[in-house]
Amino acid sequence: MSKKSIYFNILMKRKLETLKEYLYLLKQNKLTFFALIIILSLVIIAIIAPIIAPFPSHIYGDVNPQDKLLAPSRVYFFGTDEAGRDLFSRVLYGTRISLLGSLIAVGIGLLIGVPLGLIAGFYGKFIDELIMRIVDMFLSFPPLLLAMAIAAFLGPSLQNAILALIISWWPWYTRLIRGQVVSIKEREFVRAAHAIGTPSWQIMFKHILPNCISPVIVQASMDLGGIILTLAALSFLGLGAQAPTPEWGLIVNTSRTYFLKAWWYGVFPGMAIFITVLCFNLLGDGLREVLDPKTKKY
Amino acid sequence: MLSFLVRRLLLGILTLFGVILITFILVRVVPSDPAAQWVGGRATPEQVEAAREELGLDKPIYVQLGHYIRDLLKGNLGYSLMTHQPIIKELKNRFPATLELVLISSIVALLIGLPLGLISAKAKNSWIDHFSRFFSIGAISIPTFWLALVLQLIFFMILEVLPSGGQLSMRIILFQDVPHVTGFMFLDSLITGNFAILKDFLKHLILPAICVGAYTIGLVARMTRSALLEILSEDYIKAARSYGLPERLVLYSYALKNSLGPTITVVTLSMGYAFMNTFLVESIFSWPGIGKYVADAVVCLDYPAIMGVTILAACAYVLLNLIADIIISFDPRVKL
Repeated sequence: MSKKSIYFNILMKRKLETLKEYLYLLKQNKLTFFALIIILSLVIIAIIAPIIAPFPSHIYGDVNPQDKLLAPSRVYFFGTDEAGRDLFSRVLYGTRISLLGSLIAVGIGLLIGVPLGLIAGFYGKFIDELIMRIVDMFLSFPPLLLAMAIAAFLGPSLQNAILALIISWWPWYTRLIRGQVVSIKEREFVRAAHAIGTPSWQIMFKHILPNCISPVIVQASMDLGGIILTLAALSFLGLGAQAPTPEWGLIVNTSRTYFLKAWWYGVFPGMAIFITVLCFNLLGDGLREVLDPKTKKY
Repeated sequence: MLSFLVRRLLLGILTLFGVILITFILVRVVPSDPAAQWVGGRATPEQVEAAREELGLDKPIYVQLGHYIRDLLKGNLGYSLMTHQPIIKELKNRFPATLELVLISSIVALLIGLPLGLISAKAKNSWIDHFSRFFSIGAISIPTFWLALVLQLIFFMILEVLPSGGQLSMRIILFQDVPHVTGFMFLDSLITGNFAILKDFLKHLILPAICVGAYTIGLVARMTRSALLEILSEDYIKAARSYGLPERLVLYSYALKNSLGPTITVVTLSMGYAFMNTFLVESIFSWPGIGKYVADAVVCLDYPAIMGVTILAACAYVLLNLIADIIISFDPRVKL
């Protein structure tokens, strides 16, 4: 075996050990572990939604006026809406829209925000000043407001709502990472890397980034929930998904007209939003405990 | 100190300029043809041309930006597409209702959230801590608009104890002289000593206030807990404890005093969140404030109205943060 692959094996083994340790710690915290299980099941539901939905044709179009606004029953678990569509199938499929939308928004937000934060913190001076002032501009809008305005001007649609969320969300990651980088870049291992002539980008991404990623992971996990909530709020206002997309916020919005005589119409999709967001927040909270050396306990 | 204030003020102005720039880009650059948007879908090409000239869209972009800023400084936010009224006037009329809702719910949220975070930090890892953490995570996870509908269902439909919406009951609006001094219903009824109206108003206020404040309670409790825990792990707290000072003294006069900074941050942030929640809540409870105005504007894509609210709210938020920073700067430990 070559020298390099031995090093590699040792490194991988150590990484696996850390991963196992984290998993053990997560299991210790019952609530977090429970949340993780639910999130995993939601992901599975999102993937196979059209297969397990009892009435796949009800997810989009399809109208059955004879079955409109029926209360929950053995046929329709969550009841039906004003067009006679099965709400259970629609809510199931809504999982896919919400999870995917939020994953895309957080993912792209990270891809923009993290490198910018690294650059700002690492190079400092003018470039730091420039990036951070731009970040300040974006963060000086109250939460949701900027996303709302952008979504309105781009034209109401699910894609534009996600784009609006990306535009208003990335600065948070930049600010978070930059703060971490500033405190890490003076540490000895970074100086040592400089001293042996490691190129800057390699120092940034290989040496600094892994050491400041944990708060970002916690934040991203909470944001996955936060963005699901905001996306639903935008749809509720009429700026997100458009009918007949089975988006949770949109279903709650259309239910308003019938809410007082058909409680199930709005209650179930809203509950789906609540549970999903709650689980992501619980997970983020648990991850914070595990990843933060100050609160980590065995 | 003075140099800090000047620097912070300049930075505030810079940020405001940035906010205006972003909104300008949204209004003038993002739509493919703002003039067409202005006149609506059924306009003839001549009308679009006329609108382009009227809006100054035929001029170079920096001249447009100049005009845009000039209009804003004059307090001119343009005209609503729906009502054709000056937006600033409509917002002024609706401002008291929203401010009242935001202030009252924020104060209540702080009164609940701060002690909750305090107890939580004090008895870390006890059952009360677990409960309070679960409660606050629940509060930041619940969709505001859904909470509003569910509360309406429970308290209006099923229990029939609270009204479904509005600021006052119909019978009071029709048969009583509703005082109008400051525009703030709460103050007005208090000043004129009209307790029947006050009671009716409070009854209408409960549900919207809960919905607007729910997120804030969770946020405040969480931030207070983590800020206090950080302070409690400081050396001077350990020193105080090792002297054998009573826990009450350590907590209230050593730890709490030093959490001014985080607390003020919490207050400004919670006001921001409460204001945003009015967008979702007011239209459900027919509360005649800015939130309902925005929700209505969004439904008919009344762009100038949406932009007007965005600019005003962002400016107010920048100002709020500026004030918060200035208050925090009076703390002698803050390095200026």
